[in-house]
Amino acid sequence: MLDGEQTLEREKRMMESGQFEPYDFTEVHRTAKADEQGNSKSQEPLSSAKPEDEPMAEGLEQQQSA
Amino acid sequence: MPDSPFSSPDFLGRDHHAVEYSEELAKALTEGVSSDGNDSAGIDPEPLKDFSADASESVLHFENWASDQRNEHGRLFDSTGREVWRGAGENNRISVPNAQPFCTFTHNHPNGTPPSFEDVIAGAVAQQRELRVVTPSGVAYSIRFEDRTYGAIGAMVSRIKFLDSASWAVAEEWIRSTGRTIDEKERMCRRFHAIFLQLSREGFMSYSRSNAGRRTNAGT
Repeated sequence: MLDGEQTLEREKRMMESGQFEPYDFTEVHRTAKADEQGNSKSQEPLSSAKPEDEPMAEGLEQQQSA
Repeated sequence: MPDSPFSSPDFLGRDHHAVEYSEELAKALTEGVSSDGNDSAGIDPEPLKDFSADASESVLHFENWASDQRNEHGRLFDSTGREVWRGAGENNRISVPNAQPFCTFTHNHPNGTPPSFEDVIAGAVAQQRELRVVTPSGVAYSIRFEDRTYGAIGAMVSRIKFLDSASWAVAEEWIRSTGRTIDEKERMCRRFHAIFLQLSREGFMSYSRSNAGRRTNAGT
């Protein structure tokens, strides 16, 4: 999912023009529908984590391996 | 013709009661955004509700770490607080797998923006229990969805469309009347805060925004 960058760009355009610009929900609906239907290409198993740069909270490893 | 501007369908809340949007939006948009602490305007969203202390600590531990990262990182926790997925994305996006309903999804926004409309709608469609966003300055957003039925999500999208426009108009008036100069990020943060608070008042979600800086449960 996108963070607010597109919205930030839209905000800047609206400030410059002084005109409201409706948010384009088309992409949001498309993504949500794809996710709902299980078409997401982003499914990643838990093993895709990068333990070298994403530290585990204490005790979590034990919980997962239990 | 409606009896008053507030009796038109656009101004009716979820329970078909009139809502003074201009006043409420202006108040939310102009107050409390830069102050420290929870400014959820008295709405208690109970973030991480039902999580054990250890599970809450796991979430906060990750969020503390993620808030400093240049790319987005996310984790999904099931309803008991057990981590079921973790992943990384780009600096402005992350893909989230399908998961069982009622998960808590947390991720960071490296550019400091609040939850996007896409975050909110995708989270509701995915039947998430709670959507969380943390920023580099330590602001943490929490949105809990109250009703994840298609009808409720559709109604919420309609409200977002209206409140997006209404808050923009309120922001324009506020800036014009005060002569303040704010950049697009501050304006977006204020508008979205006002929008999410209003959606909370209408019963679509529970929302909080805390500005407690980097934190953990430990020692608190």
